[in-house]
Amino acid sequence: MFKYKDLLVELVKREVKSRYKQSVLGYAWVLLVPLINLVVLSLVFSYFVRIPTGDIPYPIFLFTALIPWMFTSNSIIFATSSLVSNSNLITKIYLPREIFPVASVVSKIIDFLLSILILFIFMFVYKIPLGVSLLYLPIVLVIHLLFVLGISFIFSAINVFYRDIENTMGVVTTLWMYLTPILYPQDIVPDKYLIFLKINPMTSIIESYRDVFLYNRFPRIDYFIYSLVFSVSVFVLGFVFFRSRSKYFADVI
Amino acid sequence: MLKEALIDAFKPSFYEHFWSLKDVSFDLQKGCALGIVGPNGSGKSTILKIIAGVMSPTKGSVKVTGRIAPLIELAAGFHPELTGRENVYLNGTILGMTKKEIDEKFESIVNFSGLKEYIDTPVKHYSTGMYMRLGFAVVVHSNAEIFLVDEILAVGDAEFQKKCVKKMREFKDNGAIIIFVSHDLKTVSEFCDEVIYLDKGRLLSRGAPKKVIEDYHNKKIIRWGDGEMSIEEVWVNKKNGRNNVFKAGDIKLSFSVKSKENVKDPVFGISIKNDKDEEVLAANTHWNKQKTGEFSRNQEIVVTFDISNRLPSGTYWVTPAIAHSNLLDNYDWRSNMLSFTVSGETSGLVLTPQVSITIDQ
Repeated sequence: MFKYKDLLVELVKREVKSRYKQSVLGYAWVLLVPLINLVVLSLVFSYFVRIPTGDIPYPIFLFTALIPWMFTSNSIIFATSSLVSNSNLITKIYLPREIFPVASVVSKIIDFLLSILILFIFMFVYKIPLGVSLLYLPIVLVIHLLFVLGISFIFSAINVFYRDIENTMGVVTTLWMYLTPILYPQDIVPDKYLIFLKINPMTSIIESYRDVFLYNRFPRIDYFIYSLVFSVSVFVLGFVFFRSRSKYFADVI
Repeated sequence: MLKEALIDAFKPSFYEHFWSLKDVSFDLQKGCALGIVGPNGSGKSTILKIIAGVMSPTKGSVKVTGRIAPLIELAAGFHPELTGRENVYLNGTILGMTKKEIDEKFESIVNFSGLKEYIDTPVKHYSTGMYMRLGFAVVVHSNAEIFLVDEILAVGDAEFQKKCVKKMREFKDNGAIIIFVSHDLKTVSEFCDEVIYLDKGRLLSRGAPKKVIEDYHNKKIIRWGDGEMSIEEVWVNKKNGRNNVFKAGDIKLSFSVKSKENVKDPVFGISIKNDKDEEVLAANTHWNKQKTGEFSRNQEIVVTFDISNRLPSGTYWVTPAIAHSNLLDNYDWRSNMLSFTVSGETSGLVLTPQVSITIDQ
């Protein structure tokens, strides 16, 4: 993979540059979309429907979860179709096929990191101090990234054979978002349903981000271990699955 | 069980298996240019894809030493919204160059393409010729040792084509391997040291360009198969009839078969090609869903194809074949065994040919 470092960089550049060409606001869209989401959702859930979030103002509570979530869903949606949309390369030139979903995810990491900067600005405005726990952020990011890459490998490979996957991604990510404590805190969920939230690995990841950003503490240890084990397993499984299917891609795509 | 089902679900499945290449082997030394000729669907491009590593062979192997530059489609990696400059970097890295290498060669690439003024324009505003020129300019700077060329030299203006051929010669003289797929027999014979002739995935002829191209023109009768059944004779309408010019109308094509072993459910088929080597009609008992039954040793039969449609006037070549019931192996296959001519005032394409097949014991 190291040999293909420059190629990865160029592919990511292609994604980033081409996305907002021929648009007036250009790259600003990367920040505008989460901001618009934030404003609308904050309005709905802190004025129309009141969701209790303790000492933390609702917009901040929401934004700390919304941006990692958007990274998850955007990456997965984008990576799922990455092989099919690069079929002209896949059928003509040998390149390690992993590079396409990886490039998709990497281009979304850039968006993610930029929106974290926006979060810091918001926290400053709302006078929420940034704690030393921020030092744990890279660990949470890596766990999150492994999870996203693993899922991307699996979905993008299956999508070569069954294009249904890319068509269902919109619905799947929307449902998944509601089953993750992004818009609401976990404690308002009735105990008997809590189990569904907890088996969802995104719950652990999102809660870890909140611990690190808002509550100035190391992520809850059970969540931390669960998400670590889950992410590493998904990544390894996804990679092995992708590899074993990749020899058929050029025949089917 | 579940695991296998899941894995199998992500394997390509074809309704009918066929070998797009079979029993084709060759090796190439440095500084050698190999031409591949053959009609459409003969497996030429598949060879390039296998060498490029894009497809993996079901059986057999390919060993490649050196960096490969596929010229299958020069601008495969181009993104229309990006500028020429950005696309040079993108395509360069796709071809295996590092960013540093491209930085060093950028000037030279742009000069070769002759697109200096347009290099910062998005390539969506380029003409096809400009696309090709920029694509080719990147490829020739990629330090590849093996070039796979698929018909591309047909694009672009004459002067640029000359430039390309000249550059290819230069590479060849410096020890590069060039594999050249083309319908353009003239360029092939001028440029290549060796030519192979493929049809339906089989190597029919190989050797010096002159000899192979002659074979290709003569459509030499080639025969293969395990011989458990053999095709003895083929005729149109009447056996032993001297006439091979027919007026447009219904025709009957027959061939006689002798079985040398006990054989079950063989598939009888014919293919008719026109003078341009295009298949105008193909039929077999498998497509017609006919079970042919069992044949014992030394049995002789005649298979007749009633073709109830009009072939346009012209000369045709008939290839009869007998395949195993698995459709993968042949008992006998005799390419271009017979030619006949249709005369008359018809022209145009054959529309929905109706073919019925009878087997006389």
